[in-house]
Amino acid sequence: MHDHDHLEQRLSQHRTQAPEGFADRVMESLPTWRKSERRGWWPAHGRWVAPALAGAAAMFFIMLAVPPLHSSEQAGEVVFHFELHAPGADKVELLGTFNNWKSGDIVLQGPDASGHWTASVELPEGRHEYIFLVDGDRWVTDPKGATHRPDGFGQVNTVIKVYDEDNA
Amino acid sequence: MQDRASTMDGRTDRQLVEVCLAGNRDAFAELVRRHQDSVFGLAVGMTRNREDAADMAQEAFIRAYGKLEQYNPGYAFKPWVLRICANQTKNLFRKRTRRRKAEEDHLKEEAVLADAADNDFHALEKALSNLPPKLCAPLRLKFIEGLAYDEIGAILGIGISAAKMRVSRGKQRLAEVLNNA
Amino acid sequence: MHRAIALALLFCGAVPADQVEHSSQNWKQLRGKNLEMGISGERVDRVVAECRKAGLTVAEAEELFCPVYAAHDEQLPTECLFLKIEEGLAKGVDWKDVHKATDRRLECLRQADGLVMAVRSGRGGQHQHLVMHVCMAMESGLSADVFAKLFSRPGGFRYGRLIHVVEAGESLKLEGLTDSQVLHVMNDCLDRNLTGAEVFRMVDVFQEGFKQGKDYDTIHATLWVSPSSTSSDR
Repeated sequence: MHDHDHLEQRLSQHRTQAPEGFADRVMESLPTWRKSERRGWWPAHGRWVAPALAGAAAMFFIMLAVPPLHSSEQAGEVVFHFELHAPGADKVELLGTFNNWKSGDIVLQGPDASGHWTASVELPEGRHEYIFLVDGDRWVTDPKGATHRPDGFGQVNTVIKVYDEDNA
Repeated sequence: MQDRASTMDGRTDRQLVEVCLAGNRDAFAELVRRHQDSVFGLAVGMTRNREDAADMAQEAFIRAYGKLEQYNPGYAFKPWVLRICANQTKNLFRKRTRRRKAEEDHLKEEAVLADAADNDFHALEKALSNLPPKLCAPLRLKFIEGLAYDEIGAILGIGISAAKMRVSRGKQRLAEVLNNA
Repeated sequence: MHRAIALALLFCGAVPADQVEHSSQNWKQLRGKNLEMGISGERVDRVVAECRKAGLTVAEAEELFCPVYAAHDEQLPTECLFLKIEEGLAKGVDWKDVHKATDRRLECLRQADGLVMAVRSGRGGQHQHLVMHVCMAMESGLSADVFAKLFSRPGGFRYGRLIHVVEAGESLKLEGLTDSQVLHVMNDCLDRNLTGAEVFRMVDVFQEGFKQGKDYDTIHATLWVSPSSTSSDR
Protein backbone atom coordinates (compact mmCIF):
# COMPACT_ATOMS: atom_id res chain seq x y z
CA MET A 1 0.00 0.00 0.00
CA HIS A 2 1.35 3.42 -1.00
CA ASP A 3 2.30 5.50 1.96
CA HIS A 4 -0.05 8.49 1.90
CA ASP A 5 2.61 10.93 3.04
CA HIS A 6 4.87 9.79 0.22
CA LEU A 7 1.97 10.16 -2.17
CA GLU A 8 1.32 13.72 -1.00
CA GLN A 9 4.97 14.52 -1.49
CA ARG A 10 4.92 13.10 -5.00
CA LEU A 11 1.84 15.14 -5.80
CA SER A 12 3.35 18.33 -4.42
CA GLN A 13 6.29 17.92 -6.79
CA HIS A 14 4.14 17.02 -9.77
CA ARG A 15 3.36 19.47 -12.55
CA THR A 16 1.14 18.95 -15.54
CA GLN A 17 2.75 21.16 -18.11
CA ALA A 18 0.68 23.26 -20.46
CA PRO A 19 1.36 22.55 -24.13
CA GLU A 20 4.24 24.25 -25.85
CA GLY A 21 3.29 27.69 -27.13
CA PHE A 22 0.23 27.92 -24.91
CA ALA A 23 0.93 31.46 -23.68
CA ASP A 24 1.46 32.67 -27.24
CA ARG A 25 -1.86 31.20 -28.31
CA VAL A 26 -3.63 32.90 -25.41
CA MET A 27 -2.12 36.28 -26.24
CA GLU A 28 -3.04 35.90 -29.89
CA SER A 29 -6.64 35.22 -28.88
CA LEU A 30 -7.02 38.20 -26.59
CA PRO A 31 -9.21 41.05 -27.77
CA THR A 32 -7.25 44.13 -28.74
CA TRP A 33 -9.35 46.16 -26.35
CA ARG A 34 -10.62 45.61 -22.84
CA LYS A 35 -13.73 47.03 -21.18
CA SER A 36 -12.90 49.43 -18.40
CA GLU A 37 -16.30 49.61 -16.67
CA ARG A 38 -16.33 48.77 -13.00
CA ARG A 39 -18.95 47.33 -10.77
CA GLY A 40 -20.63 49.96 -8.59
CA TRP A 41 -19.60 48.43 -5.29
CA TRP A 42 -15.99 47.83 -6.26
CA PRO A 43 -13.54 50.45 -5.01
CA ALA A 44 -11.97 52.22 -7.97
CA HIS A 45 -8.65 52.95 -6.31
CA GLY A 46 -6.54 52.43 -3.28
CA ARG A 47 -7.30 50.36 -0.30
CA TRP A 48 -8.95 46.96 -0.54
CA VAL A 49 -11.00 46.18 2.51
CA ALA A 50 -11.05 42.42 1.99
CA PRO A 51 -7.59 41.53 3.35
CA ALA A 52 -8.66 42.74 6.77
CA LEU A 53 -11.54 40.27 6.85
CA ALA A 54 -11.46 36.62 7.81
CA GLY A 55 -13.56 33.51 7.36
CA ALA A 56 -16.95 33.77 5.74
CA ALA A 57 -16.68 37.46 4.98
CA ALA A 58 -13.41 36.91 3.15
CA MET A 59 -14.98 34.07 1.23
CA PHE A 60 -17.82 36.41 0.25
CA PHE A 61 -15.33 38.78 -1.35
CA ILE A 62 -13.59 35.99 -3.21
CA MET A 63 -16.88 34.75 -4.54
CA LEU A 64 -17.95 38.20 -5.69
CA ALA A 65 -14.80 38.50 -7.76
CA VAL A 66 -15.79 35.74 -10.13
CA PRO A 67 -18.85 34.82 -12.19
CA PRO A 68 -21.78 33.35 -10.26
CA LEU A 69 -21.82 29.58 -9.78
CA HIS A 70 -24.06 27.34 -11.79
CA SER A 71 -26.01 24.63 -10.09
CA SER A 72 -24.18 21.68 -11.61
CA GLU A 73 -21.22 20.64 -9.60
CA GLN A 74 -19.24 18.78 -12.13
CA ALA A 75 -18.51 18.50 -15.83
CA GLY A 76 -20.22 15.63 -17.65
CA GLU A 77 -23.86 16.58 -17.21
CA VAL A 78 -26.38 16.24 -19.98
CA VAL A 79 -29.77 17.89 -20.27
CA PHE A 80 -32.52 15.29 -20.58
CA HIS A 81 -36.08 16.10 -21.55
CA PHE A 82 -38.90 14.35 -19.66
CA GLU A 83 -42.47 14.36 -20.84
CA LEU A 84 -45.75 12.76 -19.75
CA HIS A 85 -49.19 12.97 -21.29
CA ALA A 86 -51.54 13.40 -18.32
CA PRO A 87 -54.29 15.84 -19.28
CA GLY A 88 -56.41 15.22 -16.18
CA ALA A 89 -53.61 15.60 -13.65
CA ASP A 90 -53.13 18.46 -11.22
CA LYS A 91 -49.50 17.75 -10.49
CA VAL A 92 -46.79 15.55 -12.01
CA GLU A 93 -43.53 14.93 -10.21
CA LEU A 94 -40.39 13.16 -11.32
CA LEU A 95 -38.57 10.86 -8.92
CA GLY A 96 -35.46 8.94 -9.75
CA THR A 97 -31.94 7.97 -8.88
CA PHE A 98 -30.74 11.42 -9.97
CA ASN A 99 -32.67 13.15 -7.18
CA ASN A 100 -32.55 10.32 -4.63
CA TRP A 101 -36.26 9.60 -5.20
CA LYS A 102 -37.17 12.85 -3.51
CA SER A 103 -40.75 13.97 -3.96
CA GLY A 104 -41.42 17.65 -4.52
CA ASP A 105 -37.98 18.12 -6.01
CA ILE A 106 -38.70 18.02 -9.76
CA VAL A 107 -42.21 19.09 -10.66
CA LEU A 108 -43.10 19.02 -14.33
CA GLN A 109 -44.59 22.07 -15.96
CA GLY A 110 -47.96 21.76 -17.58
CA PRO A 111 -50.32 20.74 -18.79
CA ASP A 112 -50.01 22.40 -22.16
CA ALA A 113 -52.92 22.58 -24.59
CA SER A 114 -52.45 18.95 -25.54
CA GLY A 115 -52.23 17.74 -21.95
CA HIS A 116 -48.47 17.24 -21.82
CA TRP A 117 -46.28 17.85 -18.80
CA THR A 118 -42.57 18.49 -19.34
CA ALA A 119 -39.30 19.09 -17.55
CA SER A 120 -35.74 19.47 -18.79
CA VAL A 121 -33.27 18.25 -16.20
CA GLU A 122 -29.49 18.24 -16.07
CA LEU A 123 -28.42 14.70 -15.35
CA PRO A 124 -24.95 13.45 -14.54
CA GLU A 125 -23.71 11.05 -17.19
CA GLY A 126 -24.45 7.42 -16.52
CA ARG A 127 -27.33 5.08 -15.75
CA HIS A 128 -30.54 6.39 -14.18
CA GLU A 129 -33.94 5.04 -13.19
CA TYR A 130 -37.07 7.11 -12.75
CA ILE A 131 -40.84 7.12 -12.43
CA PHE A 132 -43.56 9.78 -12.45
CA LEU A 133 -45.78 10.51 -9.45
CA VAL A 134 -49.14 11.90 -10.52
CA ASP A 135 -51.25 13.87 -8.05
CA GLY A 136 -49.19 12.63 -5.17
CA ASP A 137 -50.53 9.11 -5.12
CA ARG A 138 -50.32 7.45 -8.52
CA TRP A 139 -47.07 5.96 -9.83
CA VAL A 140 -46.85 6.10 -13.61
CA THR A 141 -44.16 4.46 -15.73
CA ASP A 142 -42.97 6.55 -18.66
CA PRO A 143 -44.74 4.93 -21.60
CA LYS A 144 -42.18 6.41 -23.98
CA GLY A 145 -39.24 4.89 -22.12
CA ALA A 146 -37.41 2.24 -24.11
CA THR A 147 -36.26 0.16 -21.15
CA HIS A 148 -38.62 -0.73 -18.32
CA ARG A 149 -37.48 -2.44 -15.15
CA PRO A 150 -39.51 -3.85 -12.27
CA ASP A 151 -38.53 -2.05 -9.07
CA GLY A 152 -39.11 -4.99 -6.76
CA PHE A 153 -41.98 -3.09 -5.09
CA GLY A 154 -44.67 -3.70 -7.67
CA GLN A 155 -43.98 -0.69 -9.83
CA VAL A 156 -41.98 -0.36 -13.02
CA ASN A 157 -39.19 2.18 -13.44
CA THR A 158 -37.73 3.42 -16.69
CA VAL A 159 -33.99 3.01 -17.20
CA ILE A 160 -32.02 5.52 -19.22
CA LYS A 161 -28.36 5.82 -20.02
CA VAL A 162 -27.27 9.38 -20.48
CA TYR A 163 -23.97 10.28 -22.05
CA ASP A 164 -22.70 13.35 -23.82
CA GLU A 165 -23.05 12.66 -27.52
CA ASP A 166 -19.56 11.51 -28.38
CA ASN A 167 -18.64 10.65 -24.84
CA ALA A 168 -20.34 7.26 -24.77
CA MET B 1 13.13 33.64 -23.01
CA GLN B 2 11.21 33.55 -19.78
CA ASP B 3 10.81 30.14 -18.27
CA ARG B 4 7.47 28.96 -17.06
CA ALA B 5 8.20 29.66 -13.42
CA SER B 6 8.81 33.28 -14.48
CA THR B 7 11.56 33.85 -12.01
CA MET B 8 13.12 36.46 -14.30
CA ASP B 9 10.21 38.88 -13.90
CA GLY B 10 10.31 39.89 -10.25
CA ARG B 11 6.97 41.68 -10.25
CA THR B 12 4.16 40.28 -8.14
CA ASP B 13 0.92 39.13 -9.72
CA ARG B 14 -0.78 42.20 -8.29
CA GLN B 15 1.74 44.48 -9.90
CA LEU B 16 1.35 42.72 -13.21
CA VAL B 17 -2.44 43.16 -13.04
CA GLU B 18 -2.03 46.85 -12.33
CA VAL B 19 0.36 47.26 -15.24
CA CYS B 20 -2.01 45.35 -17.49
CA LEU B 21 -4.97 47.47 -16.41
CA ALA B 22 -2.89 50.47 -17.32
CA GLY B 23 -2.71 49.13 -20.87
CA ASN B 24 0.33 46.85 -21.00
CA ARG B 25 -0.70 43.51 -22.55
CA ASP B 26 2.72 41.95 -22.09
CA ALA B 27 2.16 42.00 -18.36
CA PHE B 28 -0.75 39.62 -18.91
CA ALA B 29 1.49 37.32 -20.93
CA GLU B 30 3.70 36.98 -17.85
CA LEU B 31 0.64 36.11 -15.75
CA VAL B 32 -0.29 33.43 -18.28
CA ARG B 33 3.20 31.97 -18.25
CA ARG B 34 3.24 31.85 -14.45
CA HIS B 35 -0.09 30.11 -14.06
CA GLN B 36 -0.63 28.19 -17.28
CA ASP B 37 0.48 24.85 -15.80
CA SER B 38 -1.84 25.22 -12.83
CA VAL B 39 -4.83 26.19 -14.96
CA PHE B 40 -4.10 23.56 -17.57
CA GLY B 41 -3.63 20.94 -14.86
CA LEU B 42 -7.02 21.72 -13.34
CA ALA B 43 -8.64 21.60 -16.76
CA VAL B 44 -7.02 18.21 -17.42
CA GLY B 45 -8.35 17.01 -14.08
CA MET B 46 -11.86 18.14 -15.03
CA THR B 47 -11.98 17.11 -18.66
CA ARG B 48 -9.56 14.16 -18.80
CA ASN B 49 -8.66 15.17 -22.32
CA ARG B 50 -5.57 17.24 -23.03
CA GLU B 51 -6.91 18.93 -26.11
CA ASP B 52 -10.13 20.00 -24.45
CA ALA B 53 -8.16 21.03 -21.38
CA ALA B 54 -5.97 23.30 -23.49
CA ASP B 55 -9.09 24.90 -24.97
CA MET B 56 -10.64 25.38 -21.55
CA ALA B 57 -7.45 26.78 -20.06
CA GLN B 58 -7.02 29.19 -22.95
CA GLU B 59 -10.64 30.29 -22.60
CA ALA B 60 -10.14 30.81 -18.86
CA PHE B 61 -7.27 33.19 -19.41
CA ILE B 62 -9.18 35.09 -22.07
CA ARG B 63 -12.09 35.51 -19.66
CA ALA B 64 -9.77 36.53 -16.87
CA TYR B 65 -8.30 39.17 -19.12
CA GLY B 66 -11.78 40.51 -19.82
CA LYS B 67 -12.61 40.63 -16.12
CA LEU B 68 -9.36 41.91 -14.80
CA GLU B 69 -11.00 44.91 -13.12
CA GLN B 70 -12.99 42.48 -10.99
CA TYR B 71 -9.89 40.80 -9.64
CA ASN B 72 -9.31 41.63 -6.02
CA PRO B 73 -5.57 42.15 -5.59
CA GLY B 74 -5.94 41.44 -1.89
CA TYR B 75 -6.15 37.79 -2.83
CA ALA B 76 -3.93 35.51 -4.84
CA PHE B 77 -4.35 35.63 -8.60
CA LYS B 78 -3.97 31.88 -9.10
CA PRO B 79 -7.13 30.78 -7.20
CA TRP B 80 -9.07 33.52 -8.99
CA VAL B 81 -8.16 32.35 -12.45
CA LEU B 82 -8.57 28.71 -11.37
CA ARG B 83 -12.11 29.51 -10.32
CA ILE B 84 -12.83 31.06 -13.70
CA CYS B 85 -11.45 27.94 -15.33
CA ALA B 86 -13.52 25.60 -13.13
CA ASN B 87 -16.77 27.50 -13.69
CA GLN B 88 -16.50 27.80 -17.40
CA THR B 89 -15.19 24.27 -17.90
CA LYS B 90 -18.32 23.00 -16.20
CA ASN B 91 -20.50 25.09 -18.49
CA LEU B 92 -18.72 25.20 -21.83
CA PHE B 93 -17.36 21.68 -21.76
CA ARG B 94 -20.63 19.87 -21.26
CA LYS B 95 -22.17 21.69 -24.23
CA ARG B 96 -19.47 20.36 -26.50
CA THR B 97 -20.83 17.82 -28.91
CA ARG B 98 -17.58 16.81 -30.48
CA ARG B 99 -15.05 15.03 -28.31
CA ARG B 100 -11.89 13.29 -29.26
CA LYS B 101 -13.08 9.80 -28.42
CA ALA B 102 -9.81 8.04 -29.03
CA GLU B 103 -7.95 10.38 -26.72
CA GLU B 104 -10.73 10.12 -24.13
CA ASP B 105 -10.27 6.36 -24.12
CA HIS B 106 -6.54 6.72 -23.69
CA LEU B 107 -6.99 8.84 -20.63
CA LYS B 108 -9.85 6.92 -19.08
CA GLU B 109 -8.59 3.42 -19.57
CA GLU B 110 -4.94 3.13 -20.36
CA ALA B 111 -3.39 6.60 -20.63
CA VAL B 112 -0.81 5.46 -23.15
CA LEU B 113 1.52 8.36 -23.74
CA ALA B 114 3.29 8.83 -27.06
CA ASP B 115 6.72 8.47 -25.54
CA ALA B 116 5.61 6.01 -22.89
CA ALA B 117 8.87 5.68 -20.97
CA ASP B 118 7.31 4.64 -17.72
CA ASN B 119 8.98 7.07 -15.35
CA ASP B 120 7.59 8.53 -12.17
CA PHE B 121 5.98 11.56 -13.83
CA HIS B 122 4.09 9.52 -16.40
CA ALA B 123 3.00 6.96 -13.84
CA LEU B 124 1.48 9.64 -11.63
CA GLU B 125 -0.08 11.52 -14.54
CA LYS B 126 -1.56 8.29 -15.83
CA ALA B 127 -2.90 7.44 -12.38
CA LEU B 128 -4.41 10.90 -11.99
CA SER B 129 -6.14 10.51 -15.33
CA ASN B 130 -7.85 7.41 -13.98
CA LEU B 131 -9.62 9.40 -11.31
CA PRO B 132 -13.07 10.82 -11.94
CA PRO B 133 -13.02 14.62 -12.38
CA LYS B 134 -14.97 15.06 -9.15
CA LEU B 135 -12.02 13.64 -7.20
CA CYS B 136 -9.12 14.55 -9.46
CA ALA B 137 -9.75 18.29 -9.53
CA PRO B 138 -9.82 18.79 -5.71
CA LEU B 139 -6.81 16.49 -5.32
CA ARG B 140 -4.79 18.50 -7.83
CA LEU B 141 -5.77 21.77 -6.20
CA LYS B 142 -4.81 20.52 -2.75
CA PHE B 143 -1.50 18.84 -3.32
CA ILE B 144 -0.20 20.05 -6.67
CA GLU B 145 -1.34 23.65 -6.31
CA GLY B 146 -1.05 23.74 -2.53
CA LEU B 147 -4.38 25.46 -1.96
CA ALA B 148 -6.37 25.55 1.26
CA TYR B 149 -9.72 23.76 1.52
CA ASP B 150 -11.69 27.00 1.56
CA GLU B 151 -9.97 28.10 -1.64
CA ILE B 152 -10.65 24.70 -3.20
CA GLY B 153 -14.28 24.97 -2.20
CA ALA B 154 -14.54 28.45 -3.69
CA ILE B 155 -12.92 27.38 -6.94
CA LEU B 156 -15.06 24.30 -7.44
CA GLY B 157 -18.24 25.70 -5.94
CA ILE B 158 -18.49 23.15 -3.14
CA GLY B 159 -18.45 23.36 0.63
CA ILE B 160 -15.28 22.99 2.69
CA SER B 161 -16.31 19.61 4.10
CA ALA B 162 -17.14 18.37 0.61
CA ALA B 163 -13.70 19.55 -0.52
CA LYS B 164 -12.05 17.67 2.35
CA MET B 165 -14.01 14.54 1.66
CA ARG B 166 -13.22 14.58 -2.04
CA VAL B 167 -9.53 15.17 -1.41
CA SER B 168 -9.49 12.29 1.04
CA ARG B 169 -11.34 9.98 -1.33
CA GLY B 170 -9.23 11.13 -4.26
CA LYS B 171 -6.05 10.33 -2.38
CA GLN B 172 -7.36 6.92 -1.46
CA ARG B 173 -8.43 6.17 -4.99
CA LEU B 174 -5.10 7.39 -6.38
CA ALA B 175 -3.24 5.14 -3.97
CA GLU B 176 -5.35 2.19 -5.13
CA VAL B 177 -4.67 2.97 -8.78
CA LEU B 178 -0.94 3.30 -8.19
CA ASN B 179 -0.93 0.07 -6.21
CA ASN B 180 -2.56 -1.77 -9.06
CA ALA B 181 -0.36 -0.24 -11.77
CA MET C 1 -30.39 -3.31 23.80
CA HIS C 2 -30.22 -7.09 23.68
CA ARG C 3 -33.38 -7.22 21.57
CA ALA C 4 -31.80 -4.78 19.13
CA ILE C 5 -28.71 -6.94 18.86
CA ALA C 6 -30.76 -10.11 18.42
CA LEU C 7 -32.85 -8.53 15.68
CA ALA C 8 -29.75 -7.21 13.95
CA LEU C 9 -28.12 -10.65 14.10
CA LEU C 10 -31.23 -12.22 12.65
CA PHE C 11 -31.47 -9.92 9.66
CA CYS C 12 -27.95 -8.75 8.97
CA GLY C 13 -26.44 -12.09 8.13
CA ALA C 14 -22.80 -11.49 7.38
CA VAL C 15 -22.49 -8.17 9.22
CA PRO C 16 -19.30 -8.40 11.30
CA ALA C 17 -19.72 -8.71 15.06
CA ASP C 18 -18.15 -5.37 15.85
CA GLN C 19 -20.72 -3.56 13.72
CA VAL C 20 -23.59 -5.32 15.47
CA GLU C 21 -22.28 -4.65 18.92
CA HIS C 22 -22.42 -0.96 18.15
CA SER C 23 -26.14 -0.85 17.30
CA SER C 24 -27.59 2.61 17.51
CA GLN C 25 -29.43 3.36 20.72
CA ASN C 26 -31.23 6.39 19.42
CA TRP C 27 -31.95 8.34 16.25
CA LYS C 28 -28.96 10.58 16.77
CA GLN C 29 -26.56 7.65 16.85
CA LEU C 30 -28.23 6.13 13.82
CA ARG C 31 -27.84 9.41 12.00
CA GLY C 32 -24.19 9.66 12.96
CA LYS C 33 -23.50 6.15 11.77
CA ASN C 34 -24.93 6.90 8.35
CA LEU C 35 -23.03 10.14 8.08
CA GLU C 36 -19.85 8.13 8.66
CA MET C 37 -20.73 6.13 5.54
CA GLY C 38 -20.29 9.32 3.57
CA ILE C 39 -24.01 9.84 2.90
CA SER C 40 -24.90 13.55 3.00
CA GLY C 41 -26.63 15.00 6.02
CA GLU C 42 -29.62 16.10 3.96
CA ARG C 43 -30.22 12.58 2.64
CA VAL C 44 -29.72 10.90 5.99
CA ASP C 45 -32.06 13.35 7.71
CA ARG C 46 -34.72 12.81 5.08
CA VAL C 47 -34.58 9.03 5.32
CA VAL C 48 -34.55 9.08 9.11
CA ALA C 49 -37.58 11.39 9.01
CA GLU C 50 -39.34 8.95 6.64
CA CYS C 51 -38.55 6.07 8.99
CA ARG C 52 -39.96 7.93 11.97
CA LYS C 53 -43.01 9.02 9.99
CA ALA C 54 -43.60 5.39 9.04
CA GLY C 55 -43.52 4.46 12.72
CA LEU C 56 -40.26 2.50 12.70
CA THR C 57 -38.35 2.02 15.91
CA VAL C 58 -34.64 2.76 16.02
CA ALA C 59 -33.91 -0.96 15.94
CA GLU C 60 -36.07 -1.44 12.86
CA ALA C 61 -34.44 1.48 11.10
CA GLU C 62 -31.06 0.02 12.04
CA GLU C 63 -32.06 -3.24 10.36
CA LEU C 64 -33.10 -1.30 7.32
CA PHE C 65 -29.65 0.25 7.04
CA CYS C 66 -27.80 -2.99 7.80
CA PRO C 67 -27.02 -3.76 4.15
CA VAL C 68 -25.46 -0.29 3.80
CA TYR C 69 -23.23 -0.87 6.83
CA ALA C 70 -22.27 -4.31 5.58
CA ALA C 71 -21.36 -3.00 2.14
CA HIS C 72 -19.27 -0.24 3.69
CA ASP C 73 -17.38 -2.79 5.78
CA GLU C 74 -16.79 -4.99 2.75
CA GLN C 75 -15.56 -2.08 0.57
CA LEU C 76 -18.54 -2.40 -1.72
CA PRO C 77 -20.37 0.60 -3.21
CA THR C 78 -22.97 1.83 -0.72
CA GLU C 79 -24.66 4.49 -2.82
CA CYS C 80 -26.90 2.12 -4.77
CA LEU C 81 -28.03 0.46 -1.53
CA PHE C 82 -28.94 3.72 0.15
CA LEU C 83 -30.76 4.68 -3.07
CA LYS C 84 -32.85 1.53 -2.86
CA ILE C 85 -33.89 2.44 0.67
CA GLU C 86 -34.78 5.95 -0.45
CA GLU C 87 -36.75 4.56 -3.36
CA GLY C 88 -38.71 2.15 -1.22
CA LEU C 89 -39.56 4.72 1.43
CA ALA C 90 -40.52 7.30 -1.21
CA LYS C 91 -42.89 4.77 -2.76
CA GLY C 92 -44.52 4.09 0.58
CA VAL C 93 -43.38 0.48 0.72
CA ASP C 94 -43.43 -1.44 4.00
CA TRP C 95 -39.98 -1.30 5.56
CA LYS C 96 -39.57 -5.08 5.66
CA ASP C 97 -40.07 -5.24 1.89
CA VAL C 98 -37.61 -2.38 1.44
CA HIS C 99 -35.15 -4.33 3.56
CA LYS C 100 -35.64 -7.46 1.45
CA ALA C 101 -35.03 -5.53 -1.76
CA THR C 102 -31.94 -3.86 -0.33
CA ASP C 103 -30.64 -7.20 0.93
CA ARG C 104 -31.13 -8.68 -2.52
CA ARG C 105 -29.20 -5.81 -4.05
CA LEU C 106 -26.40 -6.35 -1.52
CA GLU C 107 -26.23 -9.98 -2.53
CA CYS C 108 -25.95 -8.97 -6.18
CA LEU C 109 -23.22 -6.50 -5.24
CA ARG C 110 -21.25 -9.19 -3.41
CA GLN C 111 -21.52 -11.56 -6.35
CA ALA C 112 -20.60 -8.81 -8.81
CA ASP C 113 -17.57 -7.84 -6.75
CA GLY C 114 -16.44 -11.46 -6.53
CA LEU C 115 -16.81 -11.91 -10.28
CA VAL C 116 -14.78 -8.82 -11.10
CA MET C 117 -12.15 -9.54 -8.44
CA ALA C 118 -11.67 -13.02 -9.89
CA VAL C 119 -10.15 -11.50 -12.99
CA ARG C 120 -8.58 -8.32 -11.60
CA SER C 121 -5.80 -7.99 -9.07
CA GLY C 122 -7.40 -5.22 -7.05
CA ARG C 123 -10.16 -2.68 -6.71
CA GLY C 124 -8.49 0.08 -8.62
CA GLY C 125 -9.61 2.23 -11.49
CA GLN C 126 -13.28 1.96 -12.37
CA HIS C 127 -13.80 -1.22 -10.38
CA GLN C 128 -16.68 0.14 -8.31
CA HIS C 129 -18.47 1.44 -11.42
CA LEU C 130 -18.21 -1.93 -13.11
CA VAL C 131 -19.34 -3.72 -9.96
CA MET C 132 -22.36 -1.43 -9.68
CA HIS C 133 -23.38 -2.00 -13.30
CA VAL C 134 -22.95 -5.77 -13.02
CA CYS C 135 -25.01 -5.67 -9.83
CA MET C 136 -27.85 -3.86 -11.62
CA ALA C 137 -27.71 -6.28 -14.51
CA MET C 138 -27.88 -9.24 -12.14
CA GLU C 139 -30.73 -7.62 -10.26
CA SER C 140 -32.48 -7.38 -13.64
CA GLY C 141 -32.08 -11.11 -14.08
CA LEU C 142 -28.75 -11.81 -15.75
CA SER C 143 -27.01 -14.74 -14.07
CA ALA C 144 -23.57 -14.74 -12.48
CA ASP C 145 -22.57 -17.37 -15.03
CA VAL C 146 -22.98 -14.87 -17.88
CA PHE C 147 -20.47 -12.53 -16.28
CA ALA C 148 -18.09 -15.29 -15.29
CA LYS C 149 -17.90 -16.26 -18.96
CA LEU C 150 -17.76 -12.67 -20.19
CA PHE C 151 -14.92 -11.68 -17.86
CA SER C 152 -12.87 -14.73 -18.67
CA ARG C 153 -12.90 -14.09 -22.41
CA PRO C 154 -9.43 -14.19 -24.00
CA GLY C 155 -7.74 -10.80 -24.12
CA GLY C 156 -9.36 -9.43 -21.00
CA PHE C 157 -11.33 -6.19 -21.08
CA ARG C 158 -11.16 -2.47 -20.66
CA TYR C 159 -13.39 -0.98 -17.99
CA GLY C 160 -14.90 1.80 -20.07
CA ARG C 161 -15.97 -0.41 -22.95
CA LEU C 162 -17.13 -3.19 -20.68
CA ILE C 163 -19.38 -0.95 -18.59
CA HIS C 164 -21.38 0.06 -21.67
CA VAL C 165 -21.61 -3.54 -22.80
CA VAL C 166 -22.90 -4.57 -19.37
CA GLU C 167 -25.49 -1.78 -19.53
CA ALA C 168 -26.55 -3.09 -22.92
CA GLY C 169 -26.74 -6.61 -21.54
CA GLU C 170 -29.10 -5.44 -18.82
CA SER C 171 -31.34 -3.70 -21.38
CA LEU C 172 -31.46 -6.78 -23.56
CA LYS C 173 -32.26 -9.02 -20.61
CA LEU C 174 -35.13 -6.71 -19.71
CA GLU C 175 -36.35 -7.09 -23.30
CA GLY C 176 -36.66 -10.79 -22.68
CA LEU C 177 -33.53 -12.26 -24.26
CA THR C 178 -32.14 -15.41 -22.70
CA ASP C 179 -28.82 -15.36 -20.86
CA SER C 180 -27.03 -17.11 -23.73
CA GLN C 181 -28.43 -14.66 -26.27
CA VAL C 182 -27.35 -11.70 -24.13
CA LEU C 183 -23.88 -13.20 -23.66
CA HIS C 184 -23.57 -13.76 -27.40
CA VAL C 185 -24.40 -10.11 -28.15
CA MET C 186 -22.14 -8.77 -25.41
CA ASN C 187 -19.24 -10.78 -26.80
CA ASP C 188 -20.08 -9.49 -30.29
CA CYS C 189 -19.75 -5.92 -29.01
CA LEU C 190 -16.43 -6.60 -27.34
CA ASP C 191 -15.09 -8.53 -30.34
CA ARG C 192 -15.87 -5.56 -32.54
CA ASN C 193 -14.51 -3.10 -29.98
CA LEU C 194 -17.65 -0.98 -30.30
CA THR C 195 -17.79 2.44 -28.71
CA GLY C 196 -20.50 3.20 -26.17
CA ALA C 197 -22.54 5.06 -28.79
CA GLU C 198 -22.39 2.07 -31.12
CA VAL C 199 -23.40 -0.29 -28.31
CA PHE C 200 -26.43 1.86 -27.50
CA ARG C 201 -27.41 1.98 -31.16
CA MET C 202 -27.24 -1.78 -31.21
CA VAL C 203 -29.65 -1.93 -28.26
CA ASP C 204 -31.95 0.50 -30.10
CA VAL C 205 -31.96 -1.84 -33.10
CA PHE C 206 -33.07 -4.75 -30.92
CA GLN C 207 -35.73 -2.72 -29.12
CA GLU C 208 -37.09 -1.33 -32.40
CA GLY C 209 -37.04 -4.80 -33.91
CA PHE C 210 -38.99 -6.31 -31.03
CA LYS C 211 -41.57 -3.54 -31.30
CA GLN C 212 -42.00 -4.50 -34.93
CA GLY C 213 -42.60 -8.08 -33.88
CA LYS C 214 -39.27 -9.52 -35.07
CA ASP C 215 -37.54 -12.24 -33.10
CA TYR C 216 -33.98 -12.36 -31.80
CA ASP C 217 -32.56 -14.47 -34.63
CA THR C 218 -34.02 -12.22 -37.32
CA ILE C 219 -32.65 -9.08 -35.71
CA HIS C 220 -29.26 -10.61 -34.91
CA ALA C 221 -28.82 -11.92 -38.45
CA THR C 222 -28.82 -8.39 -39.85
CA LEU C 223 -27.05 -6.71 -36.96
CA TRP C 224 -23.43 -6.83 -38.13
CA VAL C 225 -24.00 -6.82 -41.85
CA SER C 226 -23.70 -3.08 -42.43
CA PRO C 227 -20.04 -1.94 -42.57
CA SER C 228 -20.95 1.17 -40.55
CA SER C 229 -21.90 -0.98 -37.57
CA THR C 230 -18.42 -2.40 -37.06
CA SER C 231 -15.29 -0.85 -35.70
CA SER C 232 -12.87 -3.67 -36.21
CA ASP C 233 -10.21 -1.26 -37.45
CA ARG C 234 -9.87 0.44 -34.06
